[in-house]
Amino acid sequence: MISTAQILYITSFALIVIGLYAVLSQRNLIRVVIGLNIADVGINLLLVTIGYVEGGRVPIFAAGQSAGTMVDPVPQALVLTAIVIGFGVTALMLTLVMRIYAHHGTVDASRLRGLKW
Amino acid sequence: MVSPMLFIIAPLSAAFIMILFNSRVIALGLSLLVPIGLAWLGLSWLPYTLGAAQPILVASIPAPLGIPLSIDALGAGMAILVAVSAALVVLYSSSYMKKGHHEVRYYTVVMILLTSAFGLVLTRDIFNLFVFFEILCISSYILVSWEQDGAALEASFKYMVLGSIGSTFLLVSIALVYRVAGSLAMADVATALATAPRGYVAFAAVTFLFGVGVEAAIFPVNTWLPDAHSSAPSSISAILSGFVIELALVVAFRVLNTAFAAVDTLPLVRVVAIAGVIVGEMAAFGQKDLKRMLAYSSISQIGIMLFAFSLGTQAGAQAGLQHLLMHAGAKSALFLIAGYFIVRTGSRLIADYAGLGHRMPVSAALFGFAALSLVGAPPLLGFFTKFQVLSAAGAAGGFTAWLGVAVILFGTVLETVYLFRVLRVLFAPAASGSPARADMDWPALAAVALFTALVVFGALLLPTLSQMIGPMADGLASLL
Repeated sequence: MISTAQILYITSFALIVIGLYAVLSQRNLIRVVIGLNIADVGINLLLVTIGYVEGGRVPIFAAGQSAGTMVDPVPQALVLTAIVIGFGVTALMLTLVMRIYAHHGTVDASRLRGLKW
Repeated sequence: MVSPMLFIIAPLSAAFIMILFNSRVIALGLSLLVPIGLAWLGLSWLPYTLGAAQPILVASIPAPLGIPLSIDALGAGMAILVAVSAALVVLYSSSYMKKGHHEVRYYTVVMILLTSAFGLVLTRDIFNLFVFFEILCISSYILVSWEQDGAALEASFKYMVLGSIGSTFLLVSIALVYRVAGSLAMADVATALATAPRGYVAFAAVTFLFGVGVEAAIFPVNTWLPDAHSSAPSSISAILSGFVIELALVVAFRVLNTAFAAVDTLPLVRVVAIAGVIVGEMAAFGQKDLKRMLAYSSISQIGIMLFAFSLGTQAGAQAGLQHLLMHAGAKSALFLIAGYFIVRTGSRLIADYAGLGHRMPVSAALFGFAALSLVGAPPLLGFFTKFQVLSAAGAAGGFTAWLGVAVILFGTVLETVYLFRVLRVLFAPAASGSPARADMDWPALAAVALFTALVVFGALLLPTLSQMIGPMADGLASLL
């Protein structure tokens, strides 16, 4: 029987691989940005999964409770930071795509000389 | 004593203040004063860190949360290098950047870049490291795209995509580490990973290497560098090639060598370093665009430093750090002068610089000195640092070390040929009569002259420097 945590680990790594594959295979710059976002979601899921405890509680202390059955709050804090950074980078990337479109009239990487990699 | 927390607080506050006032004078004044003040702060901490056996804790929350910031000799040294370079580049920018061309915002982003650079030096927490890395990357993306022409936008986008892939790897590595270590403080991580399964740690270490390797321009994840460093404004190229990639390299290597000490990554690091040297030099050899040539040369120079670090000996670490100092001075000067070549001729192609040495004699002479130091011509600083890297490799012995020596020597031949090709074009007979002299404007000239003075007279500093470089090299291998 596969546990919940194992399903989550597999899903998160699958999302990261799918995202990176999209980044490397797509020619359309918008799709490249979407690929990076999929990878980002995968990582966030991975981080939350690491702090996951089977049947765990919300990590808030109340009278007479111990930390034993709580999920780990640190990865959740990390995910918040990672989401904010991911949002900022995505916004900046989309701005650049807009500028590239205004400049060259295309978002197709194969038609942009500087974007061959 | 003034707290080293100012390294992070001062540039960040300066960034907010200058965007608030939106005045060129305030922005320029603050971006000159803050790095100068921080260089002094670094100098005032240097004697204490040199004497201390362990890094001095600056700020921390009680364990297990930690998030420690500490300063050691290596940190103080890198901070001084960053601060001095930044002050000189700002001085240069004051005449190089077009007036009114969003100048205040330019200095704001430079200050934010400085914040993250100092943060990387001080932090002893791997997630904090990730956050500062992201700030460094994002401010670099913005500065690379500054000119907003086609090439700059494309280069910046390419840099962003590769940088984001790098961040993905870095974050995966941090997640893997946290899963077994249950802590993010580097010292705890090192203890926990020592008993973890070796395959697991090796996977996390390699993921980490390629994550930070993107920003540190380690082969093979450095394909963004030639585009980004050549399309950025020349002042930014000098910052990026002068200390950003070096800083990323030092931080990456320190974490690999300490937190991931459980697995021996040095052989892998040495192989990618040697590959970087040869690929960088061969690519630079074929370039017709001056800034692209310099950017490829940075890839090979980074390879030389990483090779020296990867020897795993004290001599290797010292040689690598000295070469880093030389490269910071020489490459910054070269990029800054190249910036004015482009301003004066309107072209980035070396072929268009024929006879430019007669129009810009002082600039061309400084370019010559910096180029000679980069190649390693005696008695300039570059000769001594490269010689030390080679002798450290010889002392370490082994097949890959000697292979590295051979590759570096072969690379030096290539480097000599392509840099002399540039010098020959610069000092070729002028095409028509005697053109009017048009050297760099004086603030830019002063900044470049100071960078060049470092590489020309640096050899005189070596005896003093060698007393400090020992404890700094120890910083590459120790954590707390």
